[in-house]
Amino acid sequence: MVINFAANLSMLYTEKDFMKRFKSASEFGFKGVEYLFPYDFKKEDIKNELVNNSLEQILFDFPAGDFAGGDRGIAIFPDRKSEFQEGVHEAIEYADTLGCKRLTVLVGIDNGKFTTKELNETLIENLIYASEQTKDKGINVLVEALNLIDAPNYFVSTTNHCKQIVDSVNKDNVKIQFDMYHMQIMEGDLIRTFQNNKSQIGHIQIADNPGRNEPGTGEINYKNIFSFLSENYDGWIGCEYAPLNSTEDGLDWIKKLTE
Amino acid sequence: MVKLEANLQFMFNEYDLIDRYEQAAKAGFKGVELQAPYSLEIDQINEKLEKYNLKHVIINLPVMDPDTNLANIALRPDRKDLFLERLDLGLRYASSLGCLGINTGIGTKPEGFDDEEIYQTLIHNQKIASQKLFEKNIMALIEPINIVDQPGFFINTSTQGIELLEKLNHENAYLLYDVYHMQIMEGDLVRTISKLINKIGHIQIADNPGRNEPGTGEINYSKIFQTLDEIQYEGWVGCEYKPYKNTLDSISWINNT
Repeated sequence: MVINFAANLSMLYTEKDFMKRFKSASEFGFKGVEYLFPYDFKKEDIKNELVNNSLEQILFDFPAGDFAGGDRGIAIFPDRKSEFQEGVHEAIEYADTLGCKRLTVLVGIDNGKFTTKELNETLIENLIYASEQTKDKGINVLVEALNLIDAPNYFVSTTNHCKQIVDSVNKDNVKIQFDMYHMQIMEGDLIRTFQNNKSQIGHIQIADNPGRNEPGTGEINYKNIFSFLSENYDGWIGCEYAPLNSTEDGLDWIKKLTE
Repeated sequence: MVKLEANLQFMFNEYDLIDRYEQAAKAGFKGVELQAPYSLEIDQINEKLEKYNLKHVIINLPVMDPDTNLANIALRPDRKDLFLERLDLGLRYASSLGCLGINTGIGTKPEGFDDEEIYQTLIHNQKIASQKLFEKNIMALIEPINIVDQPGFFINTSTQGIELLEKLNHENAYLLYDVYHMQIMEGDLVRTISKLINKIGHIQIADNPGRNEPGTGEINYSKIFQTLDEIQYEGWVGCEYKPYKNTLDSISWINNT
């Protein structure tokens, strides 16, 4: 079956420095890469790695606040709108250079300072802004739901909420990022949920559960999921998992589960 | 190794109900479950159990409302007497057949009553059931069911199931964790089963979507069974799935897991 897997360089090849991970991914056979953030590096340097290793830049995230300090996005906060907007422009500059057509919004952790209504409204406003800034460039803006065990109080934690937000934004280039690991923890019913939301899903990420390790290590039957997706999805699938041992040793799941 | 048993409502329905016991035994099963044994005589079933050396693991209470044809009398404030009658019938079958548990039945929300009244009725009925079954050393099993297949089903997540058990506060009341229903409603199977293992009295399985045999859907049953071994689940696992083609072809997954 034909499936486009992208290596997530924030979680794979972490045995190496970030800038050396592109080559490793390419040597294994990946044609695309994604990661959380490029902003600590010069865009030209990343561009070189992509070109030298014949890799497509599939996706990265908008600046998401102080990630090390616990932020998981800032798009819901009424008092950080200008910070979000600045981030949109920084992301677009990188996306332009890297040829990236998908940018993900991490929405943020509800800190209890605002009402749910305020958080939803701010998120929708920010997404409309991001949509307008990116639409002429053919970029899709993706909203991702995270699970509440790994990210307690993260504001969007179900496909339904994610869809409601995307529906309210009502822009062609704003879509759902469907992470099967997060959604298996939060709701299960993966294949039906994908089917029901297919037209609005712009990107998929995978890992098994529990553990967030390689497909095949947990409770999700990825062989059947891939077989289903090969006939129902023509986008990219980001491999966003924590290798159980070394990245290279763990990659045999691709062959085993996609034959 | 997980002890698998055959659900005779779903499996071997190429045969008449009474003949399914023999077929299950021939296919290698040591145990069976059957929601509704009530069209058969107790002696008739016992003869089969003895002849084929089968354990009758569970049955369900007959909770059909004769007026509405909905299986929800456990929820109806106006049907408490009927629930007691049915409980006696179920108990007679279960104790004669040597069952380990009875699925005491919940059902879809009846119209014309408010939620609190329905919930109190359920607690009232389940308390009586838990105690009566306790006296016969049979587990009372509460099964949450998914609302995609059965819209309006009153208890539909393991969280609600556990909440109900806490309200019942009876040592003989347990959760029937159906992996298929719970994958539709909530996912996170391994973590949930591991966490609730002390409250789980029985497990049922099918893959999703489709409710066919393990291996046909999105659940990695090898991992589920490995988990049940690791946490030393000692109960039975009921194969409550619709064979994709015929029943005998459908059990090849057992050797593949």
